[in-house]
Amino acid sequence: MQPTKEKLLWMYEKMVEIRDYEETMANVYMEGKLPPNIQKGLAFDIGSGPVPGEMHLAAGQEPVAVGTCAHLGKEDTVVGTHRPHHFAIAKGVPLDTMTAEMFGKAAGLGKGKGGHMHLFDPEHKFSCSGIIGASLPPACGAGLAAKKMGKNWVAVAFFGEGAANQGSFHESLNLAALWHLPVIFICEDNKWAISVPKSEATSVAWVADRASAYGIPGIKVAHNDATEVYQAVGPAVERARRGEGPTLIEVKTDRYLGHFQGDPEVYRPKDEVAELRKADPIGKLAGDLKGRSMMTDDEEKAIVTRAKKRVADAFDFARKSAYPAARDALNDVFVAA
Amino acid sequence: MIEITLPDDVWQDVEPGTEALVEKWLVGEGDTVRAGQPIAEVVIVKAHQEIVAPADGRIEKIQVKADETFGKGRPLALLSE
Amino acid sequence: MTATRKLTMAQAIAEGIAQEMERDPKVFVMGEDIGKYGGIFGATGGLLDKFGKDRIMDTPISETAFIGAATGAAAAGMRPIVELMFVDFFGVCMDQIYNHLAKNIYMAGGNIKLPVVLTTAIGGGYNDAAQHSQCLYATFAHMPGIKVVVPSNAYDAKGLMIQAIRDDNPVMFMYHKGIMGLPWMAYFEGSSNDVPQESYTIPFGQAKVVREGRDVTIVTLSQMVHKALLAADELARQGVNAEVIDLRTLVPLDRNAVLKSVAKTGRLLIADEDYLGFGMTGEISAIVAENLDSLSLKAPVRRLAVPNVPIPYSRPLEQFVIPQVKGIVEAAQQLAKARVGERMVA
Repeated sequence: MQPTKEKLLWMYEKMVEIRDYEETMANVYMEGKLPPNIQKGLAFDIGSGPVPGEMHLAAGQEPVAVGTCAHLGKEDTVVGTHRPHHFAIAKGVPLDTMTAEMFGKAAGLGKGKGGHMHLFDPEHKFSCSGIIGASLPPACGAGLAAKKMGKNWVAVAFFGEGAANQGSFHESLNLAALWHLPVIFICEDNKWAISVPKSEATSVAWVADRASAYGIPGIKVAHNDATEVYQAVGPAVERARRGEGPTLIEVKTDRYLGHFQGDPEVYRPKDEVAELRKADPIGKLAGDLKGRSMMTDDEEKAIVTRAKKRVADAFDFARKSAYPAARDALNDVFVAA
Repeated sequence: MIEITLPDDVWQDVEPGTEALVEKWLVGEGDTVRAGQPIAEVVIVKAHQEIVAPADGRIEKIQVKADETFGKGRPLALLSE
Repeated sequence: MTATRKLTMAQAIAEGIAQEMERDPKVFVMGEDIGKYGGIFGATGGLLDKFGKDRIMDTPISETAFIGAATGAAAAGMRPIVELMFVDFFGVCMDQIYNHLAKNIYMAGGNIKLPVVLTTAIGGGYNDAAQHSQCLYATFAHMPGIKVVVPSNAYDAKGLMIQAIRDDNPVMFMYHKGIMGLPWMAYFEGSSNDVPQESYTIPFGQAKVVREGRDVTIVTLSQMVHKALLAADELARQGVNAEVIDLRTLVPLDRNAVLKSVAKTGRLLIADEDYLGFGMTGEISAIVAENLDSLSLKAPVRRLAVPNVPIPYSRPLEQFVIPQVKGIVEAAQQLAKARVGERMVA
């Protein structure tokens, strides 16, 4: 299944947007957190600044998000992880309300209550969670609902290779297989579960090999490449839409930044990231597009300019938005009965 | 007199103006140290770094105390050979 | 008098574990990122270098398996310390904790020992939102069979940790991230204090009067102890003399320390970072209410805790739901002026 020129250009632009977003956030996150203007005796203050708390960025992992979402419509569901921005952006979650949420503003997706790991956009059927492995069961649920409603909608659960050792992974694969749910389980293997490499946590080299234990197809994508992801996900989505059940896909991807921002990555070989960046999938796709005369240098510039502007506007919106009133903390535990 | 600093290459990926923190001194003023001996522990953003004595000698003065922060290039201590 | 030096609570915990590991080869540690990383919150800092990967074991993200394995290993004669990275993650492994680790000794009529220490990070205040900021000690105290230890400072943490490791029963050791003394999170400085180099224990079920007073009793634990002490300083400037009690352990609970103090002051404020409803503050209030035949209250009990809402991310919202020094001061001031039988205006 070859992507059309339109799809390729869409994927390229989305990856540029995601990368710019993550790199912008990497800098904005550090605002207010470093000496000298923080509590005496600290080298970093995680609770300070306009975007406090934890931050998990997906620079390098763009291909998985765009190669998958290129096959999805608004009615298809995506459930993401604690490192959610690339999935959210690729799924069409608006940048301004997403960013406002991460700044804790009232105009944010969750009125500032959720924060960066808990982004909910019901209009685009996107959600995510800070708990490892928690994406798979709700994706099964979205698939189950689609079946009951007689729709050909699908659900995608994204998770990391670390999550493949969590009970919910095994239970969800079995359930989806048993009930023929229209779910695509996509494992992002970025090799690291915080400081623990896959080789020291997982009993098999490919998580995709666990698919056979549940009687479903397991597809391996060996390169961090948007087109390869696109080619693997397409058939899985079509199978699901035809009612033929779930698929497990594993993609080898690269995490350029730390597990969380501020992560000193003492566990990671010093040159690893520099090496990974040499194979940057965004540069590679640009090269492919230009090589096939699908994009000129001027078109590339225009794409990059547009994407960066969208990102800059979103951060601007977030900065200018108002905080919620303190007492608003007590609302929205329940909706009106 | 040798000025002991946190080497420049450690500051590479850090925003200009950011400071690092002295967590702990392992030696005191007047102590004799050997080249390569760890003398202090510092933290920059979240990474722990060890400061080692650049040569044999005596710590004459500690210029940045524990729990204080310092910028790039600032001498943490003075070592007389 | 043995040598002491100032340690952070994280260092004190790691030192307690190290000393017990040196003493007893059956002690070992399992958990996520506890090896090279030293624990996400520093509780196992330096241990991998000292003891190696056979005794400091990084695990996959498989809490049910490795926490259940701790129970099994303990039953077979080992003394495991196992870390649940954030207490909020208990959901994925709670069966192994509350149905097995907590109940097996009882169901076996006391014929087995389960010397497991389950360490975990608790607490918010740095904007980590609903799934990474909870305290939940009341949840674990509520279900029978597991001891619950919640230190507020380095000195207590080391003594309580050594006590926990030597205890033949399951102990949940809950350390608040905001008092570990990490160089990357704002912390209350009173939590880093002088810790003896030698090994020592602190018995469970002994609260500490960290500040004596006459007018008002503040019962609390963990990071809230430091907020209460700051509040007490402010209250003293206003002529209200507060007594602050650090519970240190919830199971077993030092009921007598609470009753003794309330008998003296007649005014009780309970300050808690866990949820208000069905929790620690309710338990302490009930204990006092049950003893009104031997002590009297001059004012109704006041409780400060996180209202029953998920902890919000945004800074003004989080600051509103987690009790702050200012809130403790105000509540204690009102308490000092109130009378039993008169309505207090909130």
